[in-house]
Amino acid sequence: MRSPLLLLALACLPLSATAVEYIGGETAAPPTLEPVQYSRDIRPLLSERCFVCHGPDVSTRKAKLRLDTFEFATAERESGPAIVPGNAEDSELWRRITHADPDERMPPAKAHKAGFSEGQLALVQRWIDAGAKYEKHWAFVPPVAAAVPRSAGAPRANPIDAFVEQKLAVAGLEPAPEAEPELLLRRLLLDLTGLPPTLDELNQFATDFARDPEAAWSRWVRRIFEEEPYVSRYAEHMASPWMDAARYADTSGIHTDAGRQIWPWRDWVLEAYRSNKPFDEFLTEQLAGDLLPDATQANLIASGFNRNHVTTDEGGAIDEEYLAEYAVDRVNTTGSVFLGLTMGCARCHDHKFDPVTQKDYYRFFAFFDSNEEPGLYSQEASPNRAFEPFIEVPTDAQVAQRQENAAALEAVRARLDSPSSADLAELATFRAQLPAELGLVWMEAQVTSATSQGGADLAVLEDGSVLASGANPATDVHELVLSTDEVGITALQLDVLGDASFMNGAPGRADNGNAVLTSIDVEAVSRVDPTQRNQVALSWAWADYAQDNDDYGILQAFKTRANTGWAIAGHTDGAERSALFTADEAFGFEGGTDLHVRLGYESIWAAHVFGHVRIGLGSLPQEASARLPLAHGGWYSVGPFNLDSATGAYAAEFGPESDTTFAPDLDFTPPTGPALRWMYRSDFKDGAVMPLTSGTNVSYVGKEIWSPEARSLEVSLGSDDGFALYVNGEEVAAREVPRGAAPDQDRVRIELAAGRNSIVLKVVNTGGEGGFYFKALEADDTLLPDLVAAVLAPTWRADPGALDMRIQHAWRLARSPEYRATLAEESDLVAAAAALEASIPRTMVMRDRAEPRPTFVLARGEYDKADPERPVEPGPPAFLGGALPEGRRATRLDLAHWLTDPENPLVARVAVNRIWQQLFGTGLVATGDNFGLQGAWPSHPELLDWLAVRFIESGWDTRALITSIVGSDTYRRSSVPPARAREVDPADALLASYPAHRLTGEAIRDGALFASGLLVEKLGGPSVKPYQPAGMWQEVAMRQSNTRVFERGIGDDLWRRSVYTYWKRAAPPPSLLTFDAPTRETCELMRATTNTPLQALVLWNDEQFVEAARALGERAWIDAGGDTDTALIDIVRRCTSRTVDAGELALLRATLHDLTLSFEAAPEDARALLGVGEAPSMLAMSASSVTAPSDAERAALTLVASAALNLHATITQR
Amino acid sequence: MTDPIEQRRLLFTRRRFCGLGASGTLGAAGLLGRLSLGSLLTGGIAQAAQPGPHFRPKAKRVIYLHMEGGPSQLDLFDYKPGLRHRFDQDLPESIRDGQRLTGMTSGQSRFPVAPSLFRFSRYPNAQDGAWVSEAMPYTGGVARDLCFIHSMHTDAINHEPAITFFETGSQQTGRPSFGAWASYGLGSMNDNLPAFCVLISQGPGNTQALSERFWGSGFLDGRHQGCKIQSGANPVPFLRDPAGVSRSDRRKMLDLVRDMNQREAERSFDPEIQTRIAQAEMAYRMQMSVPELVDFSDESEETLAMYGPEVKKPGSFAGNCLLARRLAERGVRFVQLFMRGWDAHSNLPKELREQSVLVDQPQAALIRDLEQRGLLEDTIVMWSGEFGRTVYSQGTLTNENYGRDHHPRAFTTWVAGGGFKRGISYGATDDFGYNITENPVSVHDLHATMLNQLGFDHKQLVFRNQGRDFRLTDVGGRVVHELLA
Repeated sequence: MRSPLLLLALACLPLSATAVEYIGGETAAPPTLEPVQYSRDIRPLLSERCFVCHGPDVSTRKAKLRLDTFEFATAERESGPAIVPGNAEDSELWRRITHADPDERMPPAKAHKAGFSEGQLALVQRWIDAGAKYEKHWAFVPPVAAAVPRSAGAPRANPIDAFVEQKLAVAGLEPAPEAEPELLLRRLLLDLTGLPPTLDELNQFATDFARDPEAAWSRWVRRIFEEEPYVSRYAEHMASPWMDAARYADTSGIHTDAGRQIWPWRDWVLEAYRSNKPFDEFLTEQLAGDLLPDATQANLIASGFNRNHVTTDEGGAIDEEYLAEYAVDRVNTTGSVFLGLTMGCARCHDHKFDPVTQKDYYRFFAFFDSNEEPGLYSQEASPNRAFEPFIEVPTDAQVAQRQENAAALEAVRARLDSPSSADLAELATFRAQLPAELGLVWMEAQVTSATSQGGADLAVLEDGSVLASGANPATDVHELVLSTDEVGITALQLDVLGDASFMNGAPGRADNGNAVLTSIDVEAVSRVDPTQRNQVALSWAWADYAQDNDDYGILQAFKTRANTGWAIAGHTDGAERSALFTADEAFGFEGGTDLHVRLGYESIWAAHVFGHVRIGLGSLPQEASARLPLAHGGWYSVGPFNLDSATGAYAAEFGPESDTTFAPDLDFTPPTGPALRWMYRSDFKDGAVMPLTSGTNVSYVGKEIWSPEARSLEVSLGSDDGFALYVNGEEVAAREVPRGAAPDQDRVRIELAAGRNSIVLKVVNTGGEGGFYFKALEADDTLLPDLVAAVLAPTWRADPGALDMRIQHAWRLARSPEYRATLAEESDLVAAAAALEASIPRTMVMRDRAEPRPTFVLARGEYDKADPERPVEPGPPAFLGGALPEGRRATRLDLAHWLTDPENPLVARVAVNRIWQQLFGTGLVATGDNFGLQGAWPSHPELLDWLAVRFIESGWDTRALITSIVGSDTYRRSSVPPARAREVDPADALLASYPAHRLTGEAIRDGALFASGLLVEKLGGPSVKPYQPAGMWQEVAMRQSNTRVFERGIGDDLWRRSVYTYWKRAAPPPSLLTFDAPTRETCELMRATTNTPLQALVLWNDEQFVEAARALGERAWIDAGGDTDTALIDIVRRCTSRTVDAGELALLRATLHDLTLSFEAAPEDARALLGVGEAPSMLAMSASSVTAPSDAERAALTLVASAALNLHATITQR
Repeated sequence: MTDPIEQRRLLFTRRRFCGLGASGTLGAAGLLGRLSLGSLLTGGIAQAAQPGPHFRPKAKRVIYLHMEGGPSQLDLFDYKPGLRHRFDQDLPESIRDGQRLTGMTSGQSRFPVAPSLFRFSRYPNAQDGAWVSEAMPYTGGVARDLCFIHSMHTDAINHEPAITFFETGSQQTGRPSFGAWASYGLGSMNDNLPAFCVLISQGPGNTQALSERFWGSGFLDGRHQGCKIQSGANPVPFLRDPAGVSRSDRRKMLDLVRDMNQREAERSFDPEIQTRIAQAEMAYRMQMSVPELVDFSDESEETLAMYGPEVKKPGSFAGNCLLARRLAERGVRFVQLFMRGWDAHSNLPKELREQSVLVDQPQAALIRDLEQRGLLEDTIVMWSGEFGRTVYSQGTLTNENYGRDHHPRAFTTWVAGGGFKRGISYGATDDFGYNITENPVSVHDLHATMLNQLGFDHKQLVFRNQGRDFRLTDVGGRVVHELLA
């Protein structure tokens, strides 16, 4: 987005208008009187036409000829030297560029390069004849302050004027007079704060200016730098272009374009401008804040400059590739922003124009490729994550709160952990009595055999447990035979034990200590008559623990679903587990039984086998079974089945009603779109309202419930809207009702069979939110699930303590109101702590690896083509001079010191030029992003160098630099160019007048908010989401993107300054984009300034601007006490700082009148227009006694104010 | 304005931004009245004159149908009946030949060949027929007009860089997109619409992210940025007047702005003001022309029926194909239409079928419709994903199901109209559809060839940025003359 017009400007030095020929970095022929200068006049001509083949890049060099240095160009060759100093006619170069034969003439036609014009040839000839003197490129030589020119007239107080007026004098141009005071103040405030003046400020300034212009001016400049709110506004305005330069954004840019936190870095920049941090420190902290000795938190935050680049989270991306890309981005950004160099060109080969070699490039790269970061980032649900490495940036209050929470939690947990002795005694009694109370008897049994289908060795140990060793196949089935003489057996206890021979001693034999039991199968065989055998039907199960990342509950061991089972999470804490199974009918043969227990381990997870088990048998009378809690499976859902309308929704059947399997491969077909399937829902819980998809649709949720015996159960339901309930495929209850879901809206009694039951709840949503509630209301004397542990036979686990604690917890929960209250207190504290942690800002920082990654030159710049023959150490480009410390590896901090060395030829010039560009719209070097050989020649080289030297001498003081520029007459000139300047220098490169230029999108929006009184001023903080058209994020985002849905901010967020607007790279703020904001994917130093119809549409129709227009009209009306003319004058003055003349007032008045009539004729239109935007009416809030205007008048005022916000004079700096 | 210098200056300025070098004979008012939005969008005061074509163009416009996610060439156009016998066999290492894998299949221990489950039929074309899968019967029906390139290849293996490459000629961000180049090179042919429009359709399959950069202007002037047009009530952001503002109210407000700006121009001699006035007028006209553009009520029943049942559904691929034709008809240079959802890593047969049903009839209708209106001749319709898909299955291979990973080495693209040969197939792949065996065509080659049809030597359509000449084809590309009529 370069602007060749600006380049054009530079070519127009003392020339006639017809001689304009300017392409890229070329200048046109200078006047014949001036001596030819290589850098300015000749080098651009040769660079454009010759250097690609005869320049520094050896790989593309032709005919072994090099023309970019005196030594090479004048070297002897077969055909004679290319250049014979002092004699163009004898020079081969001259012969070839003037050759009559097109095949001989250079540059060759196939190079697609322009030939030399006659004027250019004359220049080359004169240069060779004068000795072909080569000079080093101006920008690569340290700046030296030239003597301030002495003008013919009165000596100039400000040297800037002396430099500028000298050039004007050479061109024979008179400067424009000083601008009118009101425009002067507007110019200063817009340039330094990004906001136009208020009416009071304009009036005050006019008075002061009339008394003493100079004093009034300097007082205002001082005020802006020293007083609030101006200092903060200054910071916000100056930070804005730095965000482009540093490619700051709130999302990662690639693939899911994930949200990420780095706004504390943006706030660091604001503070740096606010406190006028010297530029050398500004640079150093951003490049190497993390490496400073005793780096402060602020230093670390500053290093986030190098983390602002885009990152990927695309699943297939390759780490190394993106690590290289990140380092490349840092090199290119640092090169552009601080050095004004296009380093990127040397990534694949030596630079074609600048003396940057590929090796230089990778030496620079080596500073940046050792950050402790992944190339491929993970995807997370939270858009507030900071990408690693990051630091937390808590406020003092948050730190204090964090400590307070921790202390409170510790106290509460201490209370929870110390039950009273009375409680403990009661519990002991309870446990001692429970077996008798239930009539529970544990029985004798001997393991007589243990075999493995897969060939593992199973040994029966003395204690009756079975230990596996030897072969460990991927899947296996273990069969244990228990012999017992008992009858009436109803219970089976399975202890899963650890052993030192397993990974971490955990019970599973898998590599990670985990195991999955996919089936349990029990067969009773009579010892008296082995033909008598029966399969034992297990009807109920309980386990003390199961994994919950998928449906891994104990019920899965009943093999109702393929490919899953009871998973014990042995890879986490390695703890031993216990399970209890019951049968609905007692078993056991008179005369003795051999019980064959087959444990299946046939999951997709290899060798997930229990290594050490013990099985116990018991008897639990029928009455006792009734006290066991129901066993609940995990929730499943299928849907939503979207409907066009709610009509017939209750009658519509999609299939899940009659399904009792929850099989994940069943297809259910919705009215449109692909088939739907049951999905496991780990997020669904009983006893709370669970959300379902909103809209007009039908959703199904369901689960299995296993009952120890046939049982009648009351369930409590809620639904949004109505529901139907199916038990084992049969409808048992239904209700058609429009409502939102709440707990306990309906109660239904259902009959459960012994063993497995399926429960399906169909929820019909007729629009809006959806949801359901489900709770099984068990009998009062039912044991809580955790208390089932007390039913177990004393287990053989190495550490039964965990089970004891579980029993204690459940028992206290059931008996002690105080315990329940303390638990609630604990969970509140945990939630508060989690909320606090989530609210603590985090920001991305640089953090070097302990061992730097070795860096090599990458052939053709490709990440996987590291050239082992060409290792490099970090270092800056050699041609720029300067030294690094020797004897150790250089760091980014050394780089920062090298950059800020006063001898560095580029850094101060580039920085000074950027400030000039900000104040005048164009830099003294028009190509502010390229100071290399292809860049533009400075319009005022001596002035640039003088400013650069002064900048360094001042201690890199940005405010002092700005003060000196805005103090000049050059800055204060009228933007109306004098007649002769318009002809000779239409682009105003010589600064005969102040160059008018359009404001940035940010300044246009902020100015509208400020003029209308809506702007909410608050320095810093997380980014905000003001108005934007609907759907712009969804349209481009992936489904799993956490920045897919744009949620507009509320309240103040709508009216903050634009520097705080949330920046999503894949879809940047549309109105700013329309006004030429870049996407912030790469460093951008020069925004284009276009003028398009889409810009007019934004100013007319963007909700933000319509609302601002309404507020501006209302505000002016109130201030004017209801006087229409005054209000109209004020509206325009707030926007343009100018008082309209009588003719303009007449236009305004007539339009207001016309529009008022039109809105009177259509009162509903008036109300509709006044309803745009969230801001309340100022008239309603105003305490003044002004007669309120009618709706028609207000609407008309809104459109007139909108016109004012649209004026060229409003959106232009002039 | 009697000052001759002033007049000359203003004219000079206007000429520059209008790219209307020869309009000097018109009076200032007439000139202003004739300015087109397109020229204003693409010209500009701060922009060097349009380069214009280097030679007589064969094509005036492009419709770029980007199948985002990478459709499977093996299940659509690259017919490999021999694979039936290789079901579930490992892809020979000699074929895979050290090919780079994405992180998604690099952990896979074997690469079982998944023959397409789709039946193919031979449709008549200018050669011995084109094999097209049963998933796209309508497309097969227009095979006489299509130029299939079975030997496309690209450099990138993941979506983000591959799409960026296909749209901008570079995997890295920051380069102008093809449409922006076309807008920069040729400008617009319409008074009231941008030269480069972008349409997006959401498919039911696995989708990938889009980004402004895919239709961005990079370092070219922001005017060349693609303008997204949505069907429905709000086709262009900010186009619609706020609630309660009638056309005549807007006119009154606009007249006031114009009159005030005119006075400012007289005071300030700022030539930019005339441009601003003209731009506002264009915005006013655009407010009427865009809603007319997206309103299909003037289309015949036959036409609507041809595009299929979804044509009236806002944002559908069918609706966007028709919209693309309407844009082409109105002289828009470049329409970039994205169909999302082709990234079938698993459940490919089902997802591909669902995607195809939505694109097949409409894209064939687009070809027929352009042909019937005499527009196909000078409109290039290009159809492609950012890469193809692997012959081996990603994840479990069964008799009914498989997935396919990204495959940059060989895939099928088709082009119609704009001087491309009709009814031919070009290039070929090996028995596995894995490697190109003849006539490879790179993305740069395709771009160079399309630019050639638009009248440009791709090596000469350059823009100087930061001292270097950049072009759409970077440092590669060759015009594939064999594809051209």
